[in-house]
Amino acid sequence: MSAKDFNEKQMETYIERLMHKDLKSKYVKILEEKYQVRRKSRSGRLRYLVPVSVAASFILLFIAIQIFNHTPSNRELAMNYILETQIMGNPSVMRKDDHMVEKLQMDANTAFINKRYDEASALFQKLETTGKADDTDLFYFGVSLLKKDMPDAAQALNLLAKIKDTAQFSKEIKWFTALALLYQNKAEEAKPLLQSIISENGYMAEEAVKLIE
Amino acid sequence: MKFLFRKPDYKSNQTEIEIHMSKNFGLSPVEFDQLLSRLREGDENLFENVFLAQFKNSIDFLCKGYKIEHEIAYDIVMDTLILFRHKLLEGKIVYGNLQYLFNTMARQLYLKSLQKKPTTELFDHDFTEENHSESLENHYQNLEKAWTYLNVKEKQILEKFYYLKIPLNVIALEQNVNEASLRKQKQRALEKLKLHFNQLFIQL
Repeated sequence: MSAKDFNEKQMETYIERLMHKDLKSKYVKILEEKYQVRRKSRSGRLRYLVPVSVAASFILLFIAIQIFNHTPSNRELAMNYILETQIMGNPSVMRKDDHMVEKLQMDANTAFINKRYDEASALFQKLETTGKADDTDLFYFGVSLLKKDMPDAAQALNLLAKIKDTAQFSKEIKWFTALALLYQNKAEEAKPLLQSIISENGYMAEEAVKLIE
Repeated sequence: MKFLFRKPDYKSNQTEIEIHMSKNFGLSPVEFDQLLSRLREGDENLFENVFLAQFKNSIDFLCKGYKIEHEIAYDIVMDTLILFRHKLLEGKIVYGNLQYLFNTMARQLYLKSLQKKPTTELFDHDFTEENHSESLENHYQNLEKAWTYLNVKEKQILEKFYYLKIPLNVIALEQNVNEASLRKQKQRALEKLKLHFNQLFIQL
């Protein structure tokens, strides 16, 4: 199936499945809290396998800690989430009344869609210097700066701050700003943004909960 | 000798109703209709109070009847519950012997699971001609991501229309808006979802 084939009937099916997933989670919670019914784990051979594997995991973890004495830093956590967060590229090019600028924008967006973030950020940088970059360009520029091989969180934060009132990307801007701050080890500044994402209970709310934990 | 006498009619009627109710999760026909109409309006409380209360009994029924593990029975009963709810909303289930019907559906789902068929096939949807489970899984995951881009209002409209099967004119009445404008809102929400879905698809 290609994206073009996607029809309303399938959309109906997908929405149903989404709803069913939500319903199941809700029912599991009610069953546990109200009726004390829990999904009991597998018995039989696995009954012995589970404690053994848990013990083995602890031993491995202990050895790993001893060898590396390492826990993931804020920077590593932020980097993981930056890389994992998928942002759709912008396939459309806004008319800029300047052929060169339009080409620059198209090339930058193409590089972004193809996940060539170093190239994308360099092209968006050029686009910005023309003075004709709009908020959408600046958003993708900011994300490219975070996703490239050597992230530039400071410049990304400047860009995201400039466009923070852009309704179209408000949720994404909040999320990436929090990640950029965390990348700079400014956890206390990132926290209110993450809490706001959690309270909105929408885009990246679950990930924000994990990050705060 | 006393057993030869017929009981008075009112008691006999009462017993009949009680028998009926016991076969229908303790619901009378009127209560069942109320449950259904409230469910169609999005009120889950009654459904949760009645059907989730029976969840453990249904697990026991499967565990004892088929000697299966608790977690397998739990998953089957959960899938049955979702399917049961779906068919209730579609109007395919009528009052009669709901308990028996529920257990029959659970049994069928269990037997189907033995044939290693995904339970989702029971919803009679034509997924795709290719039907590659991995590819479908990717689509679902992308849709889940795309779904997060919708705002609460857009999600509500799509949920009510596609999932609760509430006609647009009824949703419009509920929300006190013009049907034509609601239709446009629904279309825009759908296009937004499709756009994000397709963009994720391109990125794969």
